[in-house]
Amino acid sequence: MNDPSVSTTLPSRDAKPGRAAPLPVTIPEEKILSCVHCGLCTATCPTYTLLGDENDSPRGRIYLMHAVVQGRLPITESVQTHLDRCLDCRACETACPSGVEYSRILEPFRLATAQAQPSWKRRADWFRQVVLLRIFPYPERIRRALTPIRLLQKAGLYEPMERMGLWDLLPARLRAMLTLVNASVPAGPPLPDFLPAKGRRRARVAFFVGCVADAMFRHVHWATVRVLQENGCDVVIPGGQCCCGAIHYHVADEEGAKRFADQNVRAFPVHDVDAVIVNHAGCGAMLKDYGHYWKDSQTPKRQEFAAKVRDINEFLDQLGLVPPIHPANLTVAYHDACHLAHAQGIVAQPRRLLSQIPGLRLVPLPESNMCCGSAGSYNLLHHDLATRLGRRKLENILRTGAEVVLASNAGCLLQIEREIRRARAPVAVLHPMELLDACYRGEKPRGTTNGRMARPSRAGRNTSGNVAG
Amino acid sequence: MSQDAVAETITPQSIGDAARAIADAAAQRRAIYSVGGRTHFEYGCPPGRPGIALCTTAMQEVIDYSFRDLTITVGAGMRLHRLAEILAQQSQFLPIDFVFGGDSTIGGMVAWSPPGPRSYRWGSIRDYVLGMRAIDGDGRSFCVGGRVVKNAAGYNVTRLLTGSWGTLALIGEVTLMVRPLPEQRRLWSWSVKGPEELERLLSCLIASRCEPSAIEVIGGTWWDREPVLATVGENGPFRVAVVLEGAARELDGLWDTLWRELTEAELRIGEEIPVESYDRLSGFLAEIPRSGVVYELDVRPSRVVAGLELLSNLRPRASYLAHAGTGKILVFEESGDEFTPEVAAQLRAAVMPLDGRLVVLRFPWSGTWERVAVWGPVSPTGRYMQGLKDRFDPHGILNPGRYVFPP
Amino acid sequence: MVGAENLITRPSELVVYECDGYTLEKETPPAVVFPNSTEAVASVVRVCREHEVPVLARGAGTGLAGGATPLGGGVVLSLARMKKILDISLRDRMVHVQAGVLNLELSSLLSDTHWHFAPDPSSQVACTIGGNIATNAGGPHTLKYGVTVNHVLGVTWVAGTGEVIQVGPEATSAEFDWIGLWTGSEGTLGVATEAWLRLTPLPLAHRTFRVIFQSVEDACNAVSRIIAAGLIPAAMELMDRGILQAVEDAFHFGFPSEAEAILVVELDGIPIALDEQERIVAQLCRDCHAQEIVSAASEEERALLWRCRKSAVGAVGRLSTGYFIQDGVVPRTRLPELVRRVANIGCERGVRIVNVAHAGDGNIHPILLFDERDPDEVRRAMAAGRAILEACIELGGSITAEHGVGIEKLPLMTALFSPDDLDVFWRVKRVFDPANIMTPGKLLPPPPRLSQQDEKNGQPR
Repeated sequence: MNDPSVSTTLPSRDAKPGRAAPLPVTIPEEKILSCVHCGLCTATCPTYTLLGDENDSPRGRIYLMHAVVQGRLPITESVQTHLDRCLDCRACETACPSGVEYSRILEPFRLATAQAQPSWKRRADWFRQVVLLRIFPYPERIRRALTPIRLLQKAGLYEPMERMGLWDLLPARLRAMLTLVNASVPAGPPLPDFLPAKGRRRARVAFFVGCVADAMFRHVHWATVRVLQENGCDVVIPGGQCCCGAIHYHVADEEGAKRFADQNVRAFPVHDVDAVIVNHAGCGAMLKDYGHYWKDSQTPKRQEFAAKVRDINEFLDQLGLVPPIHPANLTVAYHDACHLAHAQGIVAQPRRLLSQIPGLRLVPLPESNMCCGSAGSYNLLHHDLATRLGRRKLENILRTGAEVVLASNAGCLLQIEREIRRARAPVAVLHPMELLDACYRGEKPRGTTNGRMARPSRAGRNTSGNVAG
Repeated sequence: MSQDAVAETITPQSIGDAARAIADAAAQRRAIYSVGGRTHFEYGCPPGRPGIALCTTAMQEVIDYSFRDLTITVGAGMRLHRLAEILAQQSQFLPIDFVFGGDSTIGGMVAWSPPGPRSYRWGSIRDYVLGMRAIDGDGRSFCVGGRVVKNAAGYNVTRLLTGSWGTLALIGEVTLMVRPLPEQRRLWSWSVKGPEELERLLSCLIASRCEPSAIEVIGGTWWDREPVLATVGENGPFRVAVVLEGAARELDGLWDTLWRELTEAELRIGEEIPVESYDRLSGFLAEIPRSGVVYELDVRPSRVVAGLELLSNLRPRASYLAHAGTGKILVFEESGDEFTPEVAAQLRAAVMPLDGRLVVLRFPWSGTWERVAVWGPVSPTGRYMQGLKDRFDPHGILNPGRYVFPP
Repeated sequence: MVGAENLITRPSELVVYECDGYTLEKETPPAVVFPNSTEAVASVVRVCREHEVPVLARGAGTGLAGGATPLGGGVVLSLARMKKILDISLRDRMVHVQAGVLNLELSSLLSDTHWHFAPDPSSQVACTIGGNIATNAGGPHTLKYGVTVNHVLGVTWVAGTGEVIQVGPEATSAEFDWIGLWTGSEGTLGVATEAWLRLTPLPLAHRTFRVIFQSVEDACNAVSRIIAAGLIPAAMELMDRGILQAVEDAFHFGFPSEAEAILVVELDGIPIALDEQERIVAQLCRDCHAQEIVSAASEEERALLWRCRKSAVGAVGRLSTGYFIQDGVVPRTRLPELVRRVANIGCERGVRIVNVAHAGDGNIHPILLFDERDPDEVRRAMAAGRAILEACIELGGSITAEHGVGIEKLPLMTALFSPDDLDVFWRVKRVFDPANIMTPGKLLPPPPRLSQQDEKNGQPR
């Protein structure tokens, strides 16, 4: 009786059930129906874990969306809130045995609901309009915006001011952003157009630079390209590339995202390289998704580009790592960035790379694949939940007794570093490439005392009686 | 009141007979005291009023034995040694200890559900009753559970009736889950000098990955009559016995594992003792003189040593068998006269700080014992127990006076 | 009582609480409360009792029988926020937790010890301890380790009277086996808010292998022979061709596509004993025409094999948009017969049925597929489900082994139990829930009416 290809349009905010005004974006009902309501996803969902409300679980959100699509529910404020609270970490997709493409239900739904909003309301959100859409995608603007903070950091005033609670005087989201700023690290010059392989040439790759990543993590970029060189890769850094567009996409500016995507597709010489390398999970997941987001004449080109995109961990693991000679006598925990583990399915690769570093002791991080609360711009928009997730991550990290915690994503690095800084814990927060790079160069990884004995402490657990075993 | 109050005995041949007898008794408001092998009739309180003994031993047929399904359905009056024989023909067994010996009936065991040494590994009889047919105090028979090993349909009334001392219904027929008979059983024994060493040994045994079938601490003069146990080690104040069960090679492996664990914990290795000792240990209630007092002390496993210390201070002449893995301590005093309700109260007060519970299982019926002195203070669940009692046995004819309910 | 932040009454937020893992019947509740403590649960129950409002406990909502579906307008009492680990005492082999703690969380919490919580329902990644207690949950390893009730030492219980009762963790001869009675009562006698659970040592070694059969019946026969030979493996799990297709699609394990049935056998214990057991099991399987026996090569492969099995039901979404899972159980030797009948029922009624089974326990989960937008297909599936359970009863089995009766199997209770038997259940129910507010309309069909004649004579059946 039902044609499976039928898509349903969203009823608009004020529509009465059954009298939905058609919207430009359609939700494929088949994708919704592929959820059989088993609930196995709930436990992996960070917001459900924190809040315990089915409305804040993947299964519940799909149910809400289905109810809206069926016309049973209007898009009320509360529906919107529960959907907005989703971190889009996609842990549920990893957990789902039925292969429900949660993100591909949620994303178009969010776009549609946003577009259903009166445009004045969208424009009135200064934070979204100015900070997220006008500053973030542009590394130079971020750097300029950060200048006062960097100066304060240099003058040694930043941390005292943070501790005095001065930031509390600022609007919440600005404050959230401010506290996220990482410690000032010598960034090095902008990357050149080309860097040659060391030793035998094994591959030729193009490197994706990005926006926030370039503005705040250029040192990671340098580490990454050096690691690539060490592994026999010629590295091309194409000019004309830009932000991946993820921020725009996630705050429902689809057109903006598409413009960035097409600019990148034009900028990268995909036929000339073996892979397009990206070292931050969020950007990587977006680049890999270029192929299916928009359907128009450019689609084949976007698909071609997307097929070449590789995360640095994935690429090195595939290529076969040239193991570093210098040891890292460190206890290390690895945090699975959501957009690496859940969106790209890259879990084993970084661990395999790390296991090849002499002396390194990789300890399991409890809940390693639970979101740290960063989630793109989430920590700016849902500060309270993000902070609770950050605290939870911190506690898990401290429990391992690790001296270094690694993450392959800018957002996670910022979020975790903030928590570590607040707790004044002696843990270095690094990108895996920084650690590898240090081991190739025989340097002490940033923020560590390489060579120190591993601390035996296993942090306190609520245990009574004698712990045997 | 004593056993004499139960002058008349009827022995129904079938559940139908039994149901009619109970219905008749209900109509006349006469008390019915269910008995099986009469191996532990002196346990619990004396009959509360004159009545009839209903003996189940004629209901002892095998109704169904699906040995390939590991289930057997038998009449409640089947004696345990016969059940064991039938099962052994198919190399199967019911993994509960015959604490009152093989003459007691399966119905009697189900009605009380007494703890035994091996309940540490195998669980108690509650874990093996899959279904039953029973008769309530109105003489109505009903079925609960079934013949399948997993069953979630309806309330688990089999568990409610198991251990209810026959006060809710007469158990007429039971379906049991049985297990393949382990090829071998081996015992090791330790003589332990003091509480501190005992605690270290018990911790190690409980943490063991080879999960012994039983971890027993024995103490007191009663055991000196047990030649096998009496000669063990240096005769320390505590003796520990450990039971391992399994296939022959498996047992070697298990003992190796335990040996390693003990060595790592810098504990002595026990001596192997003859396997026959196990029957003496597990069936000791069947052998003790009928004049004595038996009580149980229930604590958490981690408080067993504290419980034993307390016991040896307050009742130096008591003998005991402590199931250290489950925290049940069975205590026996040969001379019942010394154990008065006041002593019980004193002991009960002393175990309170250990969250311990004391139940007097057997005492001389000649004395004056209030229910609270026997069973302990009325628990918060008392009104629910009474509620069930009123609904299953509205005329109060099933074993009146024998259990926690007032006669 | 619980605070505004722990109460939901907005209609748009109540919609998601209208069903659990069983989606064929739904009803939006008037409110959802999230108590944080036993006391709060008790106050909610007391208030509900005063106003005669039904109240239903809900854990993770992964139940498959509609146990958490608020039919009849009950207030949903969600225990999802009661997830504190209160105590771990390895010396006592015991943990003390609140009811909202997840099953698998216990084992991950103990991952640096050699202890675990043995009941492992397939939904263990998500389901709660409270839910496990309410349904007396089983799982693959119940074959050797038993179901939930075998692992509960103590419970804090809020009865339908609103009274809080703590039982255990020390057992005593002076009381009934409350834990035994309450476990599996599906929220109709009260709610567990805390529990003391027994821990089990992890086995020293495993042998896990998959055996490929040409027919489901052969696989069932092998199960029967293994049990009859005196072996109790840790688990014996069956998946038929239909479900394998979904599982393979989900996890790419590499099951041969032509396999009609796969039996996953796990032996555990001491390594030296396992070699011999493995040899016997393999021989018995070959006697039953096994085509291939493959051992899990590594711990990773074993984990994946178990993930395949435990997520099999969820993977059904790849075969169909709607499904309905049965939970029949028969004496193990009757399993081949049941499997034959299930296949026939599917053919006769034109319903596609795929099967997973805890074969070692005689417990089969036929999964009936349908498109929930097609009312006729739904009707046929439900009728087929009923026919399957009737077959289970006929073969000497029961209508549910571990999922519970809920609302879904309610109509069959009268087929399984006589009016006298059901009356016994009602006597229990009335003691703990005199106002009939705890999950009413589930588990028990309305009180049987005995004819006056019966009542007077009290004649046994």
